[in-house]
Amino acid sequence: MLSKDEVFEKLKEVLTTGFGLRREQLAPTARLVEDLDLDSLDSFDLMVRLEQETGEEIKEDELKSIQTIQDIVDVIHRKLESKESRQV
Amino acid sequence: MSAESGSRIVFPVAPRLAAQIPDRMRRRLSYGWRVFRTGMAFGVFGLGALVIGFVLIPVFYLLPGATREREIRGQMIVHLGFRTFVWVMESLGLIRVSRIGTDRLRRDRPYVVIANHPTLIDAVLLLACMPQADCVAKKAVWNNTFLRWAVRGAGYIPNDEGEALIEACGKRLREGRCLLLFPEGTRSPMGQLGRFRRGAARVALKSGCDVVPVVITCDPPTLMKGQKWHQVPDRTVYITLKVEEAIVSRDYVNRYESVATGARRMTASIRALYEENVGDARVDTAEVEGTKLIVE
Repeated sequence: MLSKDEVFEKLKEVLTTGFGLRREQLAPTARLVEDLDLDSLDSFDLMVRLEQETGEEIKEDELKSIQTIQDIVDVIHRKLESKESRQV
Repeated sequence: MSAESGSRIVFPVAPRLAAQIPDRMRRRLSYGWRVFRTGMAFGVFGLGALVIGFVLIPVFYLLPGATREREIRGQMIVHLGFRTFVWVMESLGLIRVSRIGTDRLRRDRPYVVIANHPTLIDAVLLLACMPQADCVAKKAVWNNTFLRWAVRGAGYIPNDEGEALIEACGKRLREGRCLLLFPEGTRSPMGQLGRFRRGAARVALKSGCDVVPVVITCDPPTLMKGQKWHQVPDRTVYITLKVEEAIVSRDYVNRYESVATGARRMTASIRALYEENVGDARVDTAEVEGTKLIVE
């Protein structure tokens, strides 16, 4: 299973290739709307992309809790953990 | 007789009498006279909206044709109504409109017109130049007694959130229709630009249609967000509609980039264009032939 650092690196790749963001913008504390200027359509695209990458659905309440890059990393990591525990 | 030489409408007081009125009183009277004319213009707008919304559009909607044809007829009626309203406002001496390159708004293929949004009447001014244009109308318009039937009959697009709105806009373009959008989503802050949203660029990129930017300037500022209709400036408002060269959407599409990235790049270019032009397009009122401003 990927570590949090590896999830962070993967997320950086998605945000730079898919959303035109620069790597230096992508600090863990960067806020999606205020700092990275992601709008509602970008957020929708990002969640679809993350669901495709992880094979896990991101629920409405999880979406609402996401404010920063670190929040996304935490949600994805949690999903991967629960996916692995189901498979064991 | 005049408190406002050069404009077509003057304050109706005989010259000899006007000379006897103290300056302060004359300014107040002239301002009141301008507020009255503004009220008249809004009255004409409300009445026109009622006639168009309750009579003309429903009657023309009943004529044979597919929904698309009926909506386009409705948009033509709105266009003619707005042309008349702009003429009324100009005739009342409230505004003077300069149009630069507005023939570019009548192209033979679908495109997205975008504009900054300094005043309440920007959509009116632009639709008066475009016989066919779909636009996105905010919820307040759909709930407005005067306007709701007109926006329905003309097939305008409700201001829904997110992907549904992008899809509705894209559908109109695919049908060969033109679209008017304000990337700021609301009126601009005074003399500045608001945050540009990327929806317009997304629509253009997804549909492959070009974007035609219109720079609107308004001097002195009027009918801004939060202003009441009677908070009018003390002189004629000069509005310029300057149509820039089209932004070609295929320049922002490549196979290595997502639509989101392309939309970000295109919106940055659009923003740069507006930052460069918002100051430049202002009309020097001293150079407008046949007009001279007198402080009321």
